[in-house]
Amino acid sequence: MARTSLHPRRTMRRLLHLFLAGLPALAGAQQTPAARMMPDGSKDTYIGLGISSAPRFKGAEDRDTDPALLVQAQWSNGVFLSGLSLGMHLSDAPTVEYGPLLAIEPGRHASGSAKLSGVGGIGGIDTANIAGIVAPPAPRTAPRFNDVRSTPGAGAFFNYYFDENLRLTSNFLYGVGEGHNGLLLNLGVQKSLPQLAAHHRLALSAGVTWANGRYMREYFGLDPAVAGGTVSYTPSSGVRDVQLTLNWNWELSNLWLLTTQLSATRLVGPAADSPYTERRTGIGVRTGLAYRF
Amino acid sequence: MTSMRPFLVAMLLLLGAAGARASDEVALQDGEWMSYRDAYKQMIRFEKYGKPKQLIQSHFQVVPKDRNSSLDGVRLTLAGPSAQLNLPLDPAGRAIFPFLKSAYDDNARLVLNRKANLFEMQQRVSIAPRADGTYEVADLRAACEQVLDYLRHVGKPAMQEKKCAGVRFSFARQGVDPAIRLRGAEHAPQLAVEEGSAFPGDAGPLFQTVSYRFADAAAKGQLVTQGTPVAIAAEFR
Repeated sequence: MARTSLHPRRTMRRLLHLFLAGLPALAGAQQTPAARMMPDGSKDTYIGLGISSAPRFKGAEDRDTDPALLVQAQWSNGVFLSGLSLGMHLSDAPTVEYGPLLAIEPGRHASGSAKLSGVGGIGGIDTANIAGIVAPPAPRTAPRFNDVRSTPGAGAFFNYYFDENLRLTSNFLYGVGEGHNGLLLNLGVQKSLPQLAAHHRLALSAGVTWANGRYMREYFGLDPAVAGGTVSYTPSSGVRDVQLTLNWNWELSNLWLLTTQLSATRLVGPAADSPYTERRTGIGVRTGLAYRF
Repeated sequence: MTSMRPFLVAMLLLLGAAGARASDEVALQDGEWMSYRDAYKQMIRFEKYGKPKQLIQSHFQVVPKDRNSSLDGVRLTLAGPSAQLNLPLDPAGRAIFPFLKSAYDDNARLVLNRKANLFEMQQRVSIAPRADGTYEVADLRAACEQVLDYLRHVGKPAMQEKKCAGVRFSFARQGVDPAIRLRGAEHAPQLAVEEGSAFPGDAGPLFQTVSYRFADAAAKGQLVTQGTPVAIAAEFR
């Protein structure tokens, strides 16, 4: 059984998966932590572990429950790391955030499992997401999917605060996918909900992701030469999915944070019509404990 | 499942550490707290604010959640791993916020010597008092506009629709004459003294308050206070 093996090389590969976690398959859009003003030379960092349960890939019926890595760091020069998103705040205005963004789009094994399933920030407080780490895939008897490498994309983000509790979030990433020409556009809103109790913060997010044709064909297209058979599917560009996410952050102390994320993602358009899509709506939940230092 | 074991062990260790830490917190001080880093983020916005602010001031404020919670005896302490600093509160619960890189880097806490859920901690922007007790009406209008502009700048909800309506002077409930004389508008009615909080919307503490409405007043003139106000708040409608 590959998943229970303690072979050193396999263990190392698993650890590599742990520390290279990308954005969760369900979260869809990269979230950027809110700009954090701090003294020159200071930083604000969260790191922790948790558990993630999510569909094995976008549109999968099967689920994976795996360890999750929580990572978020911000520096006084505006640079932030949120999961596998790296960006920089260039605005000092409290109601506008923008800057460059680099992020890794998770790939997919030929067996159908996502290669990296994700990290976010700490959304809700100032926006925490959680890292979900995907385990090595359970082997299938016959490869059915085209293998897609996890690839970096470059772009930018822009967030606008209607008020301190409601913000518009947006970003784009170009260069994802095997051909480094996939394009993703994310648009969303995030609302901080009234505090029900001290040190508990809730935030509700809704978002939509658009992808160009090259991305769609790579992730959702069916090539008989790879998949076998005679059926082919060539999707065009369009809205890939819509997401609804609830973040709950519980400050146990100034050092410890319990963060939980519940998300629902629904594939739409060409992605939903893909032969690979077994279930259009996927539910993900991640929770973990993070240390702030 | 075997491959999950290292992560489960790590999670248990983390939970254990967090639990031990939480126990320590309660043992050390069973009080309401706020992360210094979170407070710093709120407070530094005023320092970096580039629009006119010469007539207003910013404080860190401890606000009771209900009228029955008193600020008497309440102490606010900046507590870090290596040092503690007492932050004196004025009668309205306001303290001068210390901007300390060492406290930020130490991930310090702002702690009250009161149980949780009795008080809130927040930034408070108010109108700066004058030593001579004489306030030009035009300056009070300008100060109110400065407060409103700042609150809009930081994205306080519903501030875009608000307009300046007046100012509220607060005086101690005993030992201070709350009367305010209108100079240059002698025919104007006497300003009423009421019991209320220093800032609109706060549950407490309670003071003798005198509100001055811009709509009822001449564009020019002066307000002269007899006693020293605890606070001067902007009022919006």
